[in-house]
Amino acid sequence: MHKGYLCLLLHTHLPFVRHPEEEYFLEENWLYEAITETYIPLIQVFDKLISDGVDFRVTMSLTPPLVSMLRDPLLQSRYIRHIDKLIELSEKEMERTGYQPHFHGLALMYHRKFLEARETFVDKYKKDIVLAFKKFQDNGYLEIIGSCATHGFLPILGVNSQDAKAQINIGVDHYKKTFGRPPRGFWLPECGYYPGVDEILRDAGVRYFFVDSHGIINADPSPKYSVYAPIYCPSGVAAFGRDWESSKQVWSSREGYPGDADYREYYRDIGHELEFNYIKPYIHPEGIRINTGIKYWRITGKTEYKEAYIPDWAREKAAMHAGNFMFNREKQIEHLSYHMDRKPIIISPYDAELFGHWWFEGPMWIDFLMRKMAYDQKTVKLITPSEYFCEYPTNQVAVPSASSWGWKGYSEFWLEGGNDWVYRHLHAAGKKMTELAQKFSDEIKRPSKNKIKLRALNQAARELVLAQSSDWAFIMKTGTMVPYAHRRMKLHINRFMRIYNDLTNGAIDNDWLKEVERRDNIFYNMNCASYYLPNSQKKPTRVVSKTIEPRKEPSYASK
Amino acid sequence: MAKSVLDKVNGKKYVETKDKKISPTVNLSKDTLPQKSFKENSFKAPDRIEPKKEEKPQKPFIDNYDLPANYNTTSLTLIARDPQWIYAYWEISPASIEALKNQIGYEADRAVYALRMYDVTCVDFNGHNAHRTFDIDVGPHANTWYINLWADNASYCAEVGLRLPDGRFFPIVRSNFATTPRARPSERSEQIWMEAKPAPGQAPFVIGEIHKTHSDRLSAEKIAQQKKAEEAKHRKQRKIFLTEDDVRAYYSRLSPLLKDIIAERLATKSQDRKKFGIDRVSVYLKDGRIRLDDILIRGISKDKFLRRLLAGASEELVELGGASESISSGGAASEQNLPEYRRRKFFFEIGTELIVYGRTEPDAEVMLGDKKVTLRSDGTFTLRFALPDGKIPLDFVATSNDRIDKREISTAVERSKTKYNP
Repeated sequence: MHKGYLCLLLHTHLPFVRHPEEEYFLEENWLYEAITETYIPLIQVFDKLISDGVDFRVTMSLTPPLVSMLRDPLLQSRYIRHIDKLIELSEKEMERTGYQPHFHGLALMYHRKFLEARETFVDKYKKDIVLAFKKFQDNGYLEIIGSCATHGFLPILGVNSQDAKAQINIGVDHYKKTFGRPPRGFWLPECGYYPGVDEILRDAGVRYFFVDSHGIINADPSPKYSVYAPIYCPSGVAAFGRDWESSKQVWSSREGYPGDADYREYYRDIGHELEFNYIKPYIHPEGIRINTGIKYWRITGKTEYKEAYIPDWAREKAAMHAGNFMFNREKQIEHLSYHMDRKPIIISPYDAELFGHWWFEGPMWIDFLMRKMAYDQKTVKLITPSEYFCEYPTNQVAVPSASSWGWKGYSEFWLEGGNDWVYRHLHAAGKKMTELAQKFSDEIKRPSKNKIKLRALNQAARELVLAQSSDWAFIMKTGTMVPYAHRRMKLHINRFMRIYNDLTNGAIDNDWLKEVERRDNIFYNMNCASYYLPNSQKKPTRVVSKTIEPRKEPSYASK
Repeated sequence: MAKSVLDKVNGKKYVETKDKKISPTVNLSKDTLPQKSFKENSFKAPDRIEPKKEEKPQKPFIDNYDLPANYNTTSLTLIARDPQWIYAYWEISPASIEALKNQIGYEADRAVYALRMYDVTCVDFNGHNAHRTFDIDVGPHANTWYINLWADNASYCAEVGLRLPDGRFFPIVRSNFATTPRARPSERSEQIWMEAKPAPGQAPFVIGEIHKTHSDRLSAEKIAQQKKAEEAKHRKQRKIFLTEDDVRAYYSRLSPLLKDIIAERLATKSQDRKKFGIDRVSVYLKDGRIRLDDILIRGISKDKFLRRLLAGASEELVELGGASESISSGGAASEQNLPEYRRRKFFFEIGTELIVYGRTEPDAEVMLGDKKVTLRSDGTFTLRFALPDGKIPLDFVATSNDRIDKREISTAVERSKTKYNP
């Protein structure tokens, strides 16, 4: 009989980056790399586990911007162009490495991986891999939780409560449209919680969310079971706390598994290493070297000296690390269950992009872990939060402390010298959006015939939520690609301000608006402005259970 | 794209690419065309779809990258950054500052700009009842400030205004309320449990013990009382059901932030009350001779509450139970066990901060250790540090834009060990 539970939580998110106005856009590669290296490998792992009859549970968040990009026909066709290029490059690599036995096998491996990725993407899931995750959820192996409209960092946006409400409600309604049912759980972006946000979640029909460990430990009153059981906020929404020990084992760059010497080195990519003329067709057309995803070296050690990657060794290590992770959870549960009068639950949340993209062997590790948990032990059982509530619907009431899972545990990563200037504009725009919604509330509820005002209002709301994405402040702090983050922030604020001015002046430039709608087409089928109406006026949103038809966009040819 | 990508590589700022004109041909890419034309093409799966050129020339699409310098409002916003720091930003429109100066009259020239911070933890702030206030002289040109606070889990409100040499303060605008997060585990440990089901359902409940004590005379008859209480505990332990609103009202007093939200909710939810079993509470308590509403919802005086907040006592229910009967929760820290200084209200704290400023050529690069110092447009810079006990080395290196001239200035600041004499 098992003594406790483990909830493995993968948070998938990418900022909305879609530039139809450019043929190639550097930052769109974030999505393509994540599809090839993380999402498709995860889908392959889950598919294989199901076909082998392994009973597993994973909880996953898929944020609205990511879902929107994955379902966008333009980006889908561009991904096919991208993967076709990679297949071509890997063919060349097989030839080039013909006399280098260390590398030839790796070239073959990458070639096979790219072909499989293409097959999974195009043939198996017909370009819409969100359907794959939906299928896993409908089959009961995966629980997908909702998230904010554009990953807005709520402790700071919450200064205008209407902004936080819109972020949450758009996220919840987008989830309903995508998965055909309301979300039970919710991922607060960056685990950013402040007391009161749970009231908004409750009104949106959410039952639980996640906070970092200190959000629970510093809760008031002090929770009896620490982070090993959820607590209910006074609103009745539950908060689960992250388990620090299991997080560190995987996350930490020093002690964590991904830093092992046998694993693949992320920073040595042939896109940066090979001769320019050879690699030129496969990097950015402007000649900017980028990561191709083909990497031949293993981590080896802390110096610059690297040795060739050996897949068998890495596989062996992944199995070993999965076993070690499981062993540690068993010991942890045994220890905890001795002190607790109920079964403890360990919450282990990770960024999904860690698995596969940064840590190449990550999906393999998950595969091993799921299998070992199912067959090799009886102490710990995998569970999703919703299942946990079936067993323990009664929990302690306490107010979690405001917190985030960012550096230092609060808001500092998103609020410091390099990025604090954005909030002046975000808050001002948020207030102006509420003002617009009030002023034109009749227009939102009963649009006039040509609907141009309604379109402008909705687009204003889209520009606002795009600017609110926490990713821009995050990038400004981390220091790579900063100009792009600056540009996006300014661009969306300016587009918003222009619509605001046009609406208040009563003169909307239809051509311009059309172009903006085409470029920033996130939530194109949602009435975004209605989320800024005062509560009583909000138009009841219908739950659309049938899956939405993506808009037709030109598709790129595949060879 | 060409330009923007290269800019990224060169690390230039995007401000320079403002009003970038995108040629009409770029604008005419595939997706702008009427939808019909794709349908025909999509069957052929062609390599390139040649866009049909539209007849009328399209207007170039221009994005503006200049942010509004101001919104012509007068506002002040506080954001809690972490348990110890609050970030404030403000904008004062020229009209409102003029109006204020006219109101002050001839003395206005001698006034200084100040940010006045009010500690309003658990207070219904009316402008005069803050626990304490302090001023930061911000000067006429600043519009942001990071404010170091003394304690975590505190609520603040601020005003920007002018202060005259005689101490009179004329506020221009008042901020929102910001509450800093709690930085350590709560000292309260009472347990309230709730059962949540998908359907709106069962009321939350307290596992409480009802025992007869005179809490006012606790010290006098301590031993006898406690013995009695022990017996009563076993005899009268029972589950008390609360309504959802009770729980909200109870928690609302812990955080002013929650209070507003909950007050709003209570106002809108009065018709829901029946649904959540309020009858159950009153029926259950009839034989208990006290009304739970008295315990949970009755307002408590500021003094009592502040002391409880400082002491972290969880004996709220005991105190509120009144003279005849009281409910206490299991495992609560009683006030007698707390150190003397925590039980009394008086407190005294000091802190130190360090401001370093300097100037150089506006296009030079200044490094403090391995960190780059951001220069203002006139080449001046100001750094503000917390100054804990110990030594802080300050090694500045300035390099001219053409990398020829280099100056180093090294100094250090030391704060000797703070002594606390109780």
